[in-house]
Amino acid sequence: MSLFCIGISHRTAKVETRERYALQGSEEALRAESGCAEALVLATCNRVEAYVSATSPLTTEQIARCLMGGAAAATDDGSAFYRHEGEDCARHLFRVAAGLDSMVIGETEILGQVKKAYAQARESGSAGPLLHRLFQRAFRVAKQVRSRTDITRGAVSVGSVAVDLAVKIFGDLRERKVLILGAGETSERTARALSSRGVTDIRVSNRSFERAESLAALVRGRAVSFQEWTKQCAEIDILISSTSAEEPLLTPDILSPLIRERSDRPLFIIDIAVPRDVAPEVNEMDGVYLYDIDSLQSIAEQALALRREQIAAGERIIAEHVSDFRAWFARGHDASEVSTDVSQKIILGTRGSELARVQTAMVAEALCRAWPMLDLKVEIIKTRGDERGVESNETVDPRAGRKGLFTGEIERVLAAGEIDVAIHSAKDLPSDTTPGLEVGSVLPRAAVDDILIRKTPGGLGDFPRGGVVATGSVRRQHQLRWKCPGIKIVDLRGNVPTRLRKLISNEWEAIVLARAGVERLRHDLSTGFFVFEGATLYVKILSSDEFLPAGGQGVIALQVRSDDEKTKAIVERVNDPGTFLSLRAEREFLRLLQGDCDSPVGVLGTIEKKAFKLRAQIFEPGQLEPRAGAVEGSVEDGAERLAAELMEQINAG
Amino acid sequence: MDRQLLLASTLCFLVAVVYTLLALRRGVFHPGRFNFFAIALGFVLQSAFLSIRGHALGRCPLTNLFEVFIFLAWSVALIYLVIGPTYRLSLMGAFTAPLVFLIQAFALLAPIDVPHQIRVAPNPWLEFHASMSMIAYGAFALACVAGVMYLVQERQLKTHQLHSVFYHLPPLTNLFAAITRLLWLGFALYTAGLVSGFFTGGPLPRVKMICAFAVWIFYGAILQGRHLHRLAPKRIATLCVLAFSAAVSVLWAINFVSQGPRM
Repeated sequence: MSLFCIGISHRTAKVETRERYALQGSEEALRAESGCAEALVLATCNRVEAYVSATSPLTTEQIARCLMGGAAAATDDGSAFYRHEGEDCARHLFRVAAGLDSMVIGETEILGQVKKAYAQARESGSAGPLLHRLFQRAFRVAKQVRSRTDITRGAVSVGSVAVDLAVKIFGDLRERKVLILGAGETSERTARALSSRGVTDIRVSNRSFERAESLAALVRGRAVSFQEWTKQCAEIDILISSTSAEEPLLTPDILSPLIRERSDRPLFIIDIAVPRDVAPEVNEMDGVYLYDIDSLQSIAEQALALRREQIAAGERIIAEHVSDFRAWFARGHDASEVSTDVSQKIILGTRGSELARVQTAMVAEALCRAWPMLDLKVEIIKTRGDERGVESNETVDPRAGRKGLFTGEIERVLAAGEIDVAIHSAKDLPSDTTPGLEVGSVLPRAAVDDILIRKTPGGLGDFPRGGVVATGSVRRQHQLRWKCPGIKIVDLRGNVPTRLRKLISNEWEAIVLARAGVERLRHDLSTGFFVFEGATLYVKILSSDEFLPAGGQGVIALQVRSDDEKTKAIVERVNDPGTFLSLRAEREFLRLLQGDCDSPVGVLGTIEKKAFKLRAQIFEPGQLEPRAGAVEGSVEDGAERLAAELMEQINAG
Repeated sequence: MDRQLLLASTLCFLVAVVYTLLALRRGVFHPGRFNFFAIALGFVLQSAFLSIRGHALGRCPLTNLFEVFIFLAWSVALIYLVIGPTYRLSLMGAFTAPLVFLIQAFALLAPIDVPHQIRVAPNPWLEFHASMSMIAYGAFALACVAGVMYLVQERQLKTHQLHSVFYHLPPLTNLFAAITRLLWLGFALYTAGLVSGFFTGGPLPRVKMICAFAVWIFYGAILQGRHLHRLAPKRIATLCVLAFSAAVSVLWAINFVSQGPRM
């Protein structure tokens, strides 16, 4: 089996040539005409490439003709095509996915385009195990290159440079005031970019008040008389100027008295007018940062240069993965490796929320790593919880009675044999096992903690009396009342992004979410903050000693039919035994508890070396402090025995 | 044994410095957890050293210039570990580690670990006075570090030359807020240390008093300028650097000029 790619890109062909191929070829046509085993066509405005695996040799011309939809290529097109074989093909794809081969180095749009092309090829059945493996690896490479290098760092367009600088000067832009002077198109674009980062106070001033009003309407701002714009400088934080004045409108003499009234707030001036509206000497003034069109462009170029410097670091990461892929590819040609798995088709069933899809992608990746030839398909299933708009990322405790809302429909589909594996957040599964189904395996557990998310830095101790904290979990509500008796708690529903939006738009002090869910949505919490839709949100991890998580929190469970031995054997290979044992103990404890208690409960099993520890908290109605207990044993003691011991201890205490 | 702990601690700070330098050289700068953990480990070892030294002396280990510098380095690390993560100034570690390393390396290399000749009985007021003043110095040192970060970023913004480190520095306004808080914290601690000095019962050396009040007035003037908006943020950042340099010089001067018993 050979693997190669053939294509043209912005490096080898003009746009007139590229566009001839962009809309013509499809994977199905390529497979039908060339007789290759697998094919994937990646067509973007900058490149048209075909990734092919074939058992017999295929010429570049044959593939090019297929990309042209069967028509003969122009005579001068031949030299524009490049061809990469084997590991060079892998290297090329990794470079493309990581943005190293893009016109704007480090741009991230290409990764989305590669993913889309891959999804289409999977959907049509054109991408088989080899291309699956290649592309999954490419996505990993792209992620690593982005996170481990500065390849995506810095803005590379004038508007985004201005916004980035504003963020570097002011941090949070929501309370900032912006004045647009002159109603130019670039000003409007920059104002829109600032608006997308949270700016709400936008004022527009123009010699023609009517034009000021119309631009103000476009950017949801308000018009200000042109005679008054200088006075505004005492109030505003950002000035975007683009008038057609021939002499500078703003000089140090004009600005000095206004700056005095501004106390110590910086003033960021973006002068995109030519000739310039602001005298360059203004940049010498304390607290004033003046950028004209040239300096903004120069920064965009600096950022590009910085990105270029990162190419070597990116190439090093790629080289490691190419080496791995080469080894796998060599093994893949060994007949013993090409097992019957290639014909095994597994359908994964999941909810349709963003988090559920991410979790399913994690499962798919783990399964493909373990079984390279596995043919996976994902089935999205709508659950009652989704229909009601209740989010599974929350703790669902017995008393709340929501457990199963997110799993019932998926379990029904699994039992009916419509899917082979159901992917669940383990904490959503009812503690009583559904007859005929079982948790076949679990992925390694993510962070179990709950996190406090705020709009300002600080922890639980910094809330003013009566400050509002929102959470939809009854367990968390009790834990918060216990640890912060002075706060007010309100209910919170929706998926993770919805909850974050609610935090931003409401006057709440904070919300509490599961750390695992937020991190799986690719928010990096290691710095203590993250940016969501332009707003900076601060994170405090709540100690799991006091905020004991829900049973199964942070665990992704793979549920299978009890009599489906083949699928059970497949999922078992990705099982994390420690997590599985902890989950069994936690679920057993919850099962025992449901028999005689309906209180909000937190339970956590942990394994350190060979010691197995199980802790629990049970909140009783009307009681501030929970009943708590902890037992410790060895891994050999078994999950059920430890859970029973813990229950006994808590009941006795 | 205690000196070995200190060497290990200094090594931790050196590792953090080298890590930062290598990252800067590569042009890839990520404010990761490495610096934080290296400083935290260095701090634990410093604490162990001070604890052993304190037990041996039977008092707070501030009996000679060597111990004063180590206590100062410990205070800087302490304030960083408390303040840094709170105000999400993770990159502060990259700036704090070299400062602590320099103070500690100087203390280890210079022949200043000389037992003090004049012995006085342990005095709780004196110990409170000395330790509080040193922790205040720690806050001032961090204000100086934040000031340097502010000036680095301000310079890059003014000259329009943005380097890799720029993208990892906290926003200018956040840094300025941190500087202000650190100045207030340091000033409050320093005032407490200064006032407690009057309750020690012993004679108050004139030079020491003048120096201590000069530092207090310097920082008080900066805060007054900040409070009345008389000083631009850049000036305050510059003054933080100058004031801390002056304060460390004064600390040195006090050691040499003061003739009376220290502790």
